[in-house]
Amino acid sequence: MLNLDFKNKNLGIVKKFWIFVIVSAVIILAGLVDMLFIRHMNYGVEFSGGMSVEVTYDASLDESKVNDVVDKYFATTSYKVDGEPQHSVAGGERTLTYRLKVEVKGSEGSQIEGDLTKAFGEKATELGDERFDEIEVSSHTISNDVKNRIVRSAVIAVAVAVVVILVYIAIRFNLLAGVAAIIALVHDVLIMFALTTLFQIPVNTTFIAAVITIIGYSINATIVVFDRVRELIALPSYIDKTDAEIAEDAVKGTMSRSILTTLTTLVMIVCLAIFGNASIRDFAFPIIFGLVAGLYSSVLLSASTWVNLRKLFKQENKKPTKKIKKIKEQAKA
Amino acid sequence: MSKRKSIAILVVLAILIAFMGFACFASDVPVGIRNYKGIFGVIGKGIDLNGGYYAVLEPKSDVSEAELDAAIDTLRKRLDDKGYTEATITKEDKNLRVEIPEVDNAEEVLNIIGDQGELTFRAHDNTILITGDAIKDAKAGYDNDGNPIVVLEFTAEGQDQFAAATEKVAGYEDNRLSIYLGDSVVSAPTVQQKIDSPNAEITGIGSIEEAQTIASVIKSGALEIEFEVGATQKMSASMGKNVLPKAMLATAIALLIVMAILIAFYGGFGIAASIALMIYVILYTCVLAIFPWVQLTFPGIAGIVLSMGMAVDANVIIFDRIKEEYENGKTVTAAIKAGYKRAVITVLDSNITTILAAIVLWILCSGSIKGFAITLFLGVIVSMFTAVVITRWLTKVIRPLAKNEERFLGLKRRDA
Repeated sequence: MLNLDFKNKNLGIVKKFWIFVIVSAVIILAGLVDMLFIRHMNYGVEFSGGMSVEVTYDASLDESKVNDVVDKYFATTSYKVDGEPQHSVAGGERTLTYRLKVEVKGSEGSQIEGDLTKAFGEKATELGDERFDEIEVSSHTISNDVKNRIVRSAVIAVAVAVVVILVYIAIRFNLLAGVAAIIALVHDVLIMFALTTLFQIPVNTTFIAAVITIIGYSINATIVVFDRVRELIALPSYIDKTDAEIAEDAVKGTMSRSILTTLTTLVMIVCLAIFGNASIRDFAFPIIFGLVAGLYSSVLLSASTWVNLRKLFKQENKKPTKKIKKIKEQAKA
Repeated sequence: MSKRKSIAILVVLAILIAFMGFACFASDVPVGIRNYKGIFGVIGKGIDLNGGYYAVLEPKSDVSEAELDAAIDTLRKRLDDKGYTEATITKEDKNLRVEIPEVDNAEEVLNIIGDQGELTFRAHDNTILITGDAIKDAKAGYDNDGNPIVVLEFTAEGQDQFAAATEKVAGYEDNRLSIYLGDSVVSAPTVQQKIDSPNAEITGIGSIEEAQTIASVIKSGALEIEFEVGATQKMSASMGKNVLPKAMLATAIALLIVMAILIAFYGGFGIAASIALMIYVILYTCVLAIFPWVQLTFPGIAGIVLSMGMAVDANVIIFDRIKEEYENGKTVTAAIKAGYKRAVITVLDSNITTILAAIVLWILCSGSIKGFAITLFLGVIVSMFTAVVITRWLTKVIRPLAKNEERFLGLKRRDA
């Protein structure tokens, strides 16, 4: 039987804390720089407004021929395609997504759908290729008002989720462990933003759902670690151990659980991402980033952060057992 | 529990799981049940999966909550009249979100919802006698005999118009004064005589609900709330049809991998957890099918899959605990008992934040995200039950099958 027992191994997690911090910092920094100065996040139509047109065609069709029809059509209209179309593949079908920067009103979307379907129909007759007839065109339009409302409600949802989780942390943790848990949480969310930017994954409302899900999920692994810290620190046999040793033991003791549960969740969501379509994938990838970041921070960062916070606030080696010992000694005297 | 009893239970369980699995996921069963969709097939599907169309309507002017409700009734009536009975209309702040499943002609829908048409009162020959401006208010109520009625209240000018109109209509052989919204009939009461009063009653209505709808439609028709189309999206049905079977295949493969991981790491406990996982999938499918407000969407599928992954979490917590209790010298039975006892609180604790996150999304988000929040929420709740109650029972069932219990369950004493 396989075993993930790290209890008797010397991992030196607390000692290597700064290495782990640097790895995270590099990813976060790269993502933030990309996000703010270079490519920015790949906002989907829900967050940027305007229109997107999706053309889904049989994968055996030549993409450039499909693209030509679309380009030719848009050239006859006043719509301007924004940047290059994005592709995605799901099973035997490919999808090209065109973004149009327009202030949208009324039924423009369904008009474009109709016109493009007609254009593909003509192409089908011209080439005698039925696959052009089966091309599906669908549009998504969002006006500026609706976009603003979506952004507002996304901000509200995240804010409420953060407040709820902070209240939970305040109830569930003591002060410094709580601060460490919040740092881990911020880390996980920053990694999600960074990787989503670096991989240019389209950001729609599903991304917000992914962020809130990870905010809820990743706190769990941290809880388990700090519960172990609290358990160990109260043990008489740990009375002379340093914070670093306690943190190390707590992490090692909970590591198999952290790894296994993240692993099973990852297996599920990765399988779905492999088989799913673009809209599932755009949702699955940020969750995958968040899960991995959550595992990384709970195992490699959270307990060490607590150790360093205790050092910073001169609370190191404060233990309930020591207090009891002192009281007992005083009673004896 | 004897070995024979264990085997008997497992056989019965296997048959049950096979049967229920079949009932959940089989479709087009060739046994004479026509159109059998499977329990999974019964779960409501969102427009992103089933194909459909949604539009967000923004009122052009400021409207009150009551006016918006009236507008919803009007829209619903118009959509019903055109056969879009499956359409849903929900409020998002001051906007309306209209979702219509399985629709091909988005343009027709836009015409229906974009232009609600004028409220008119017409004689039998379709001449327009009064328009919406004449109406100040419309209310549903009961007459003295307790029959449902609609009470119309006119403006001062409207009262004169109505008096003239009723006088005219009462004189015809076909004395109906039909109320139209656009070109669909809202109500067609008959007029016996001239009515010169600030109020008029429409009688002979079947139910109070019908009266409320009529009143609401007349009122909002009179208001003439104009909407702007703020967002639209057409979703193709073929996308959902292609993706759903693949997503199910992906889930099945992933579940097998997860079971393999569980058995590899926890042996006999892993077997119990794997059987529990199968029971979980069936139970979860049934729960999703029971609640009519569950909507399967693309993110919703991710919610299902995510909660299956998390379902294992509880088991891992429990099994690790049991291993530890055994390491520290307890007997197998005592270790299991202690492990479950202590783990219940931990399991609750570790799921609560996910539940909180799901509730936030459920309340504050709309559309496909809501579908995600619901599947995640229900999934986590059901998983806690199967992981704690069912796995515990299954552990009891499979224990007698082991020759060497310590090895079978992967338990070890701490090295001295």
